[in-house]
Amino acid sequence: MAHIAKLGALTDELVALLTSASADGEPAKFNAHKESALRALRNHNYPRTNQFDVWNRLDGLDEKFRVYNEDQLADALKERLQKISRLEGKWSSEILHLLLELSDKPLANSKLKD
Amino acid sequence: MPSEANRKQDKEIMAAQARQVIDVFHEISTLLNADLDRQTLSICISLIENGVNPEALASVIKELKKDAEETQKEILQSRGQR
Repeated sequence: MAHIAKLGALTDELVALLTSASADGEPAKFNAHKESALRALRNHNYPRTNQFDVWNRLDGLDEKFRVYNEDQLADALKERLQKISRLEGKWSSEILHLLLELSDKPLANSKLKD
Repeated sequence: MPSEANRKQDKEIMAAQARQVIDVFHEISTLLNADLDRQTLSICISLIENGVNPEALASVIKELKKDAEETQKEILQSRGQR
């Protein structure tokens, strides 16, 4: 029960941040977003994260950056990935998997100065 | 038995470490152009630590962003009609 409550509270925060809808200002809209998000998070058919697949995708991205002469971008990514391997253990692959799923044409849009 | 001061110090070290982890993931997120601010990323990390599937979470985030964009467009259109 505590787990469901925690998921609910985190989903509330996520919905509020991404949609700018609040539980007080627009309760109907907020609740609709929250219910649909919670349903999608709890009932899905996605397989568990394969850590080898995640690291292969990141290696592929590194190679792509270098092929297109974006060595600085590749080096910056590599440095952060090495840092993460040292710092965080248990959930790194899952968090990197999320970032890869949300990644939008990094070669064209990512700038090192950001 | 650890003293109160030691416990407080341990907590501070753990909090600093957690902040550092979020900072690095945020930098990776920027390099991958994942379009997540620090606060949203830290909620996503908490959700994943609570067993949420990353792919399911990514699809929820995309859906919520799409809805927010549509709402924003509707607001701008209704302002334009006035």
